[in-house]
Amino acid sequence: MSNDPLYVRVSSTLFLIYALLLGLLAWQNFRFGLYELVYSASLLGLLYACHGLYVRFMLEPRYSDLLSRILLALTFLTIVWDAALHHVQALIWIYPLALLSFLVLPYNQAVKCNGVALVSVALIAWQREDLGQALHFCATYLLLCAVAIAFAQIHQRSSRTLVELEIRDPLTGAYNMRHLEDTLAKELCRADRTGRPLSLIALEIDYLPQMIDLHGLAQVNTLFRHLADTLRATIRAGDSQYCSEEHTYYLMLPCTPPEGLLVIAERIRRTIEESNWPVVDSITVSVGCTSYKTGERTCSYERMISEARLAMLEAQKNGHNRVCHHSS
Amino acid sequence: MSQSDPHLLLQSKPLNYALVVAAAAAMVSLTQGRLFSALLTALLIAVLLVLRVKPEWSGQQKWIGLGLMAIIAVVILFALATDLPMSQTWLIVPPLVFAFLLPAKHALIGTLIYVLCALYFLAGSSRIFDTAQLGFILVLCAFIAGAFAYLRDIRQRQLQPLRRTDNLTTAATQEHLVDDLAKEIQRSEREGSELSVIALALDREHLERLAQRDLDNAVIEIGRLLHNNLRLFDSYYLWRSQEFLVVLPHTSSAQAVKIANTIRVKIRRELKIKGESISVSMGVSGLNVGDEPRSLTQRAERALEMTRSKASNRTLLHRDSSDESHDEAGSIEDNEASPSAEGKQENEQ
Repeated sequence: MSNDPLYVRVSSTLFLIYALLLGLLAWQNFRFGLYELVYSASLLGLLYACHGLYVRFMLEPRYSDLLSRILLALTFLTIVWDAALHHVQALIWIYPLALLSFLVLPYNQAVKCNGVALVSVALIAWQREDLGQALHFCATYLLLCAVAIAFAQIHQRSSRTLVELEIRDPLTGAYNMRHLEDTLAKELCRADRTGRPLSLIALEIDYLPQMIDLHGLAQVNTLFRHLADTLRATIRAGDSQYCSEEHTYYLMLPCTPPEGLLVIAERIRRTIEESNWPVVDSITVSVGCTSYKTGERTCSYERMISEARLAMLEAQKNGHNRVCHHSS
Repeated sequence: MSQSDPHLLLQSKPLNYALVVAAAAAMVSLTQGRLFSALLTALLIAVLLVLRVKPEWSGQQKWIGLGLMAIIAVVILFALATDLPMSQTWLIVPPLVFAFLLPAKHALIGTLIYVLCALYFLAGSSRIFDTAQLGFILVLCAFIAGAFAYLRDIRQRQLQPLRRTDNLTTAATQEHLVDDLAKEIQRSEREGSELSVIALALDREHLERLAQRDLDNAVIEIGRLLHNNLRLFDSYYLWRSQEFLVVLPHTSSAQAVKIANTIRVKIRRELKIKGESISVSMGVSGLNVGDEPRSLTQRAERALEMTRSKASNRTLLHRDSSDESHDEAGSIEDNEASPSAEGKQENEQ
């Protein structure tokens, strides 16, 4: 969650607003002469300001979650301490904290933390004031949490669907593997019905791990992008291109018989071999291909993908930079 | 731009707890002789309960929900103005509820007015120290509510173009129809294969008789039935509010009529809304040379309109000259695969 730029922007802005208001509060308390509250408010304000800036500008998002948690816990303890020892009105500062916790913490943790907070705060309110006040306090707290929980649920759900619905690989613009599985299943059904052959190509850049070791992933990423563009330009309209997490590229070619498939695969291999590439001057690829024809055998999409992969691995074993057709 | 589903809040467990605790608080206030705060709390509970029982008031019949929220806000502000100690804790709730239940713009305006009024009353209050704190907290909470609403809206905007299928009917949405159909047409031209389109709609009699909610249910049921009965490479779209468009690649118009009839009979036999069986009419059209997505769907729709205007529970294939299509109406009635009971029902109509 903390890697999402949108989320970083929103939460850091909130931290800064929190800091600003705490600063104003500290000044206010100073004017009224409540010095013990001035210290806590200004200290917390300073911490929130630092944390807001850290979240926004820091390049190390690993610690920002942890720091947020520590900060929330610290604020909670301060509020409880102030309320229990000095000024019971400080308890209302727990409200924005509860809301903030649903933004900062993962949903389940936020619910648990707020449960604990509610009980302790209710006890303090009961002890320092009367039962009626405490109950009012709890009712409001629960109401606020209800809204925050509903919001958090919506956010969680939509973030999840966002991941599920995304069908393209953000780096290369090729479709991702989940989309390959969907379309391949559809195309297999279609090939069954029409009796036309369906072909799948799998291809990988040769000596990729060494290349990443040598040039670094950031450099090789530009290469991936160029490769995806080249492949897109090579295939025909109606064919489609997919890219897996391990940077294996898959090309799905409907209505392509094995003879045509070999021609296309060979053309792709030669085009890549003869082109000029950024970062490394030249690359070669190992290509594995397989095709499906109705009546020969039944086939699932998993099997088709693994066949293409096996053929590609065989091409790599036979010395890279070659095309290998899957033979059953 | 978007507002949330009120059910998610109004039916949630924390809200139940909140209502119970608030009721307890009202009772205790009453026993302590603080009549006004008891009344205030009771009013809040009442409004929330009403919204819970009639959630459409915060959804479709927006004005009632808006009115109720405005009343709560005014009452809380009034309590604040008259310097009631209990009112303080409630003060923070309205901005969040606004942000949740209202579209972004309305929520913003409402919150702004509310916060300004609250700050005005707070400034006039006698216990200046407490009220200053309360003002800070109110502003902070309003900002956090805004952040929640902002996150929700951004996510929704990101999801909009990706959402290919309608959640309830699992039909692909309209916007994708033209693109997908163009792709299919291009493909069938390349492969020299056939392509047909079925337009499917609930019959007029149901539209008049059934309530909106039942109609929605019927549409969902039809979507499910289509999902289970079409082939994997067929696709279907929710076209108008109660109209589906089914795209059948590699299917001649004669085959499409057969498929349409099977589906139509299945719907007639299997789908029941409130114990009544429902019927649909269908218009079928096949791909001609030089067709565009629009012309293809228009023909299917014209055929659909023609059947619907004359009878219910029929399938009609569109032919180029209009007199021929009249003939077709008779010949493709549900002779195929239609059980005898079905036939009888037809005759009664």
